[in-house]
Amino acid sequence: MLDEILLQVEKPGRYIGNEGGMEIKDPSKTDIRFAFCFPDVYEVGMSHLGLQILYFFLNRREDTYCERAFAPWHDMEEKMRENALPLFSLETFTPLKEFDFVGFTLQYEMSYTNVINMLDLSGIPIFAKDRKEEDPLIIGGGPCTYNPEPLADFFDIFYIGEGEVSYDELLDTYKKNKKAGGTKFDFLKAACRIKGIYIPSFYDVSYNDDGTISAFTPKYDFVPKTVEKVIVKDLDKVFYPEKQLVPLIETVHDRVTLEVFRGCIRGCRFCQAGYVYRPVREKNHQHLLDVCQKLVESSGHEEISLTSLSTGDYREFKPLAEGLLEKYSKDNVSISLPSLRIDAFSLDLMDKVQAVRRSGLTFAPEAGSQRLRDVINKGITEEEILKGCELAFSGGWTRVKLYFMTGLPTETKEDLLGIALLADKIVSKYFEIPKEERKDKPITVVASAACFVPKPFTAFQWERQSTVDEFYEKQKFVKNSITRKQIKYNYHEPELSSLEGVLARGDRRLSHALYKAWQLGAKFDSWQEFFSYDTWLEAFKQTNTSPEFYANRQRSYDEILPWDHISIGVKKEFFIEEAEKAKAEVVTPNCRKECSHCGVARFGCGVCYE
Amino acid sequence: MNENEKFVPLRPEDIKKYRLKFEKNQKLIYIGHLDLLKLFQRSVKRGKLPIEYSKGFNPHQLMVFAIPLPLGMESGAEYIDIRLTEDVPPETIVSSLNAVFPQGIRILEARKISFSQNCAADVHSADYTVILPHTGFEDIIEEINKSESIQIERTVKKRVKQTEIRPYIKKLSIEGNTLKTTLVTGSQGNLKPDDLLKYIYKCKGLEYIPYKVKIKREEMYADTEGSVKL
Repeated sequence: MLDEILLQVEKPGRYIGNEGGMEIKDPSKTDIRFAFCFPDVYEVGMSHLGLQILYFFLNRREDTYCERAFAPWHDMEEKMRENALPLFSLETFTPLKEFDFVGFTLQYEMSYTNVINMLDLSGIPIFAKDRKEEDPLIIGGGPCTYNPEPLADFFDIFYIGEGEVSYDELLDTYKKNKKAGGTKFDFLKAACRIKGIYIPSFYDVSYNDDGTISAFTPKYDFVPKTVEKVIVKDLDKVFYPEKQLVPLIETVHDRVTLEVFRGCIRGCRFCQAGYVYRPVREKNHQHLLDVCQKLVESSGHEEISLTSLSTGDYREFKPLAEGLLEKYSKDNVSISLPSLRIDAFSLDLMDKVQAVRRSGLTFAPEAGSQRLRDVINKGITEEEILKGCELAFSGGWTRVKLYFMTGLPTETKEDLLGIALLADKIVSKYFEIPKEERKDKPITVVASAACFVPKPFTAFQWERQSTVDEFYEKQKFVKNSITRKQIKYNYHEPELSSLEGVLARGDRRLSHALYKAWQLGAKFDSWQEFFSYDTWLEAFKQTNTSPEFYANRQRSYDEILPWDHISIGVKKEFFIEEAEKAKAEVVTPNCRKECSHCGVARFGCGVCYE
Repeated sequence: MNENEKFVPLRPEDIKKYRLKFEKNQKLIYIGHLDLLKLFQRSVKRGKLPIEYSKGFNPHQLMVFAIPLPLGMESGAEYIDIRLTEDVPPETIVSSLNAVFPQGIRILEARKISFSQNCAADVHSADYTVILPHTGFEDIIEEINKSESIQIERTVKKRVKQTEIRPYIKKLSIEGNTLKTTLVTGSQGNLKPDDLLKYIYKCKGLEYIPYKVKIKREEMYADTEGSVKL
């Protein structure tokens, strides 16, 4: 039957597995079956590095078979429901219901309805409380688990932190419990003592009359009050796969991905990743070159991509980049560079890498004025940007992309105007070059403005988010301030960002709205063609949920936040300090310049001990 | 030959060209032609074959398929010509590619060919076996075999066009629900099995449902009569 269905759907290659590097095991000879689920379409999920790492990490255990599943596209879902075909794994076409663990990687809030939909397609009860002993354990990991509360009612376990640290202990515990004939509860009881493991059903939440949280209490005495994230201390010693899954169909990124470090030294006050992945831990460039060689050979990919939050900050960037170029340029393997600080070295490098030239130069000033850049602690000055552009223009570049956000805390009209002014100055810079030295191609500056979403574990976690109407007004204001024809202005849809704002800082009560939105048909919300704001508004209405309470309300420092029982190692006092410094427009130096004592030195590794 | 190479005088014996015959079945029938090309490109690298690249601004591997296999169709005989920078024993080509191919694709044989051969230009006909969800087509098959002209309607660029297909049907027989046919295939003339099947179903007054039909390409030939293998 599957074969007949596959002939009736778009891109059937999404549902057949069989990729290069796929693990083939006999499920009857393994103790633990783990379904790794990415709640988005195959091409998106397969481009995700975390999946590649965890897949091979879990499968390196002989007792465990990790298989994969993705959100089926709507045409496939329709056929599956029509034929009562449950969601299956790509390795062995086993229904997810038969697995021990069904794990979801939670990369963005807008994938939450897909999680619910995938559980439903699997015939697994959606709410944890409705699941029986024989149902799989539903576990979530990834960046969204730093505030997993809106999903708390759907999951049995959240894994807080980097997968390489605690999964072995978790799986060993599971195996032991299963062999001893223990119940699910017995397992969860043992699991909650493992570092980084959070069992949401072991806590009670009570609320004040105004809707804020009054208490968050463990139900049992064996349950820890807070759960601290786990991180890898030495990235050169930890497992990193020497092969990759190589999809049979074209995906978003078909390339070798080299992770050069985790964390970020910058401390941009709006950036959740910059805080939750602290401290910076780098890999040795020689080690990376060795791994790269194995990955290129085993995958057959013709592109290598360097990845991290800010690759230009990698201390061994130069020897790594030069090593890669020397090794691979003759083998027709290209290197794709991230956005770099523009200087003579990086321009020379980019010249040698064709792929970059096509896409142009990218800067992320995030805010239009120096004042606001100081507020958000974005350590890039107008002078640096203009200098970089000048260098690039004289090197023959003619395309510049600028990324901004609107709706940042303390933002004024002058700051918004600054977006137009900066773009204008860049165009002017170009025309300062003598005419005969300019290329034939006209200059284009593309300014893109996203809508600011306050996130947990940032200096702005207490801030109110602009409303949809306010965002539209700001976007319009910026658009009208741009006059030159060389400047193109793009902006994100505020509705999506607004909803992201609700889910990002939501609490447990939001699960009802999420469930309702799914019932009303919400799925693939991160896809413009599927996203329906009205569906969500209806879901909020039907569940008596106030989206404004979550998104547009200014919180006070003493409010109990829904994620207060999770610890990323950065102290709350530090966030308060940062929030106050933001208001005072005072910048905080990056971690390499000077330690600001945020608290993550307690992990005993990385930049804190360089 | 690549246009960028015109400045380099190459002797015919410098060109190391190999023709590979492969099968595509099981779940691999669900990947399309471009994805198959990508799979070959990566596999050639993984198998460490000394593939020749074009010399242009955007170098690409020099390989040519005989004719794309439609998504969903199985094949026991697909052909691809590849150019190498040095001679490699054919059996080494076969084993190094098969070692890295996923289940569902396998090289059956490889042989060295002359510089002027090109499977895309060489292919002129192909054999197909079709498993139908219905039986009872004997009369129609007989009629087709006796007829001198068959007109079908084909939609070309949004316009319905009458096309004469009889000369493209070289052999046609049926036994139960298994239809076997040899059709003219290639750049100088091409009849897709789907078009023939649609016609047969129309004559019988039945609805043709493509996903209920299993088609397998069995062999490709260098002549239109289906006698000289590619």
